[in-house]
Amino acid sequence: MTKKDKSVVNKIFMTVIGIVLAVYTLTIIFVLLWGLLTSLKSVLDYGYGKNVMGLPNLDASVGWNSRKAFFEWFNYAEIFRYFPEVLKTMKKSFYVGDTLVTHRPNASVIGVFSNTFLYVVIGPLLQTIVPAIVAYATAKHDFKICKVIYGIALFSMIMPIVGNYTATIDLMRNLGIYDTWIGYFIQKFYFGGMYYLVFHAFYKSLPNSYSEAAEIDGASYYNILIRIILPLSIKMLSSVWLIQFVHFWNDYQTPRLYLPTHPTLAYAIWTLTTNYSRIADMPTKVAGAMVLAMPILIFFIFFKDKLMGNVSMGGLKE
Amino acid sequence: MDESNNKIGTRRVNYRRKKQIVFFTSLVVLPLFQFCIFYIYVNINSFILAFQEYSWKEGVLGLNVEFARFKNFSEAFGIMKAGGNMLLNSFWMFILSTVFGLTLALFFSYYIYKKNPCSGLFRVILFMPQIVSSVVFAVLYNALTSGVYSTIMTEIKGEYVLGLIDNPDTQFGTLLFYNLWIGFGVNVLMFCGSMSGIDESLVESAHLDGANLIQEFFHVTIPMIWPTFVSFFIVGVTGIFTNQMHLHTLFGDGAPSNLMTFGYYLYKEAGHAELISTGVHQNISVLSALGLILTAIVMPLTLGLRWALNKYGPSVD
Repeated sequence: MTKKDKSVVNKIFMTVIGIVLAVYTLTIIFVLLWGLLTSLKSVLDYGYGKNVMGLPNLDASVGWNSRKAFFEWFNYAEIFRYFPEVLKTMKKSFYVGDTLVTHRPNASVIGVFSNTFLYVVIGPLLQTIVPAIVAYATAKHDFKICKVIYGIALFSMIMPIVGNYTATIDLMRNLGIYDTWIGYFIQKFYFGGMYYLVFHAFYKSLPNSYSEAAEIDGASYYNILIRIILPLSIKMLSSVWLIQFVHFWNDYQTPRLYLPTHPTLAYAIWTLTTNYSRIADMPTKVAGAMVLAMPILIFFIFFKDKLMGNVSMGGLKE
Repeated sequence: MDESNNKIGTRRVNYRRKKQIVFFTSLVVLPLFQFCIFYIYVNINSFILAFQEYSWKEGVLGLNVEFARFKNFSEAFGIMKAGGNMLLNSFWMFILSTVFGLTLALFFSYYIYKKNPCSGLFRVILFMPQIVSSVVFAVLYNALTSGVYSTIMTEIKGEYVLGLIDNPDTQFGTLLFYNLWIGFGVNVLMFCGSMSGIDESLVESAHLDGANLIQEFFHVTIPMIWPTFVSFFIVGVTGIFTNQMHLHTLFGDGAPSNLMTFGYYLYKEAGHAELISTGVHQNISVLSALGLILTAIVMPLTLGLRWALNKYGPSVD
């Protein structure tokens, strides 16, 4: 193959992939833009006017114009107006032994936001701190059990166990912690999985000289952990927390299963857009989706480099 | 004097060791206890439940628990037989998202790794479905492939046309496409991370030997990132029976039966399951038995594929 042929092959190869990627990019941008525009259309403009693709009709002379939806964000206001009604449908009855227990949600917008705060801030915090602490303990000590714990973490990560949701629910109901925050926090007090391995590798590579110097100066092991080790790993801790935060923000399935009457924003929006028959019109549903998308998109703009830059094989790189 | 110093030294070492043990224990005891309860006990409980049958006591409040032998497994096999689609759909999903999706992700990553035009933009856009909730994309995709498609095609054809996701002939393909469409993010980022770690001298020597980009891709890049690829492939295999194909996000509990996967079925039923079947939903024991059967299928499959991929995959040599 001559140098010229090689260059042509290279160009064709990369151009084909580039075109596929460009089409992909356009579809993603199109869908998100379409969502934004549709959320600013009136129900009549979208349905009666069959304006499913165009810009919102702002012509005041047309009876079914979208002026109110566009200028006053009417569909967004509708979402928050519907919230209490939707939340009331999330009542959950279940048996603990032979006793029927009924939980009712806090049917207010404030309730949803406080649930979301607890779910997306405290949950990721536990899922970051607990693996980090156990990883530190096992990486920096030479007890035999350290290898066992490492093996457990690895085993639980690669072993495909299917369908133990029901056994977990059964356990939590019997312990009286099903559908409670304390139950959720205990569930998230889990050290296994990918991030344990990532933290373990990090602490293993961390020189002992810092902690040894502090020990000579009389610092206790707890002081060394809190004042030296955790500050040294703050960059990695914050990266893991950020990644977990995005995951928890978007997750509606876990709260639906284990916290059915503590709806987070994602769970409430999913119920509203998918499972709530009273909202049939598309602009309102799409506005609901946008309520969920906007905060995380803004968050992404600020933390894009941190979020994407830190992800590599094994989850993170320093 | 020396002996006394030695004794003091030994005592100090012992004291230090004791303090270390207390410190270590205080860090790991609670997480280990949690692991014992929420991983080990839960899985043992799942096994026990699969062999139990619950019924109401006659005349008084309370539950009878009996050894059910293989009754729950028989019912679970019944579910598998009746929902033949679920098995097929789960495997289709695996082939599309893991085999086809990962291959595409490799090409995309290679394009970005080689810093071709718009690489930065493509990287962000490919990651976008991981940032924006699947609930958002599901609502938008559902709307576009249902009402919007139907409205436009009805206008064009002059007769009513069903949406792509509503038409039984097209809905499975539409669903597969959706899963492929939003599934690139993390794979591409991880592959890019691995590719960026490839030794430049290897790439240069391949070019000196006359390799073009396609040859470099197949003979240098893929062998070098093979462990990463295997990891993702194995994650895909382990997820065969837990992958929901985003059915729950798109349809809630009411997904058409011809689209269901085991992942969807188990998740949907778990939300309603009780110890005694309500008639509409399966009970906890049958679902546990189904989970055990699926685990028994997927576990050897995972370990076998992992072994085969590591043994017969491309080597750097």
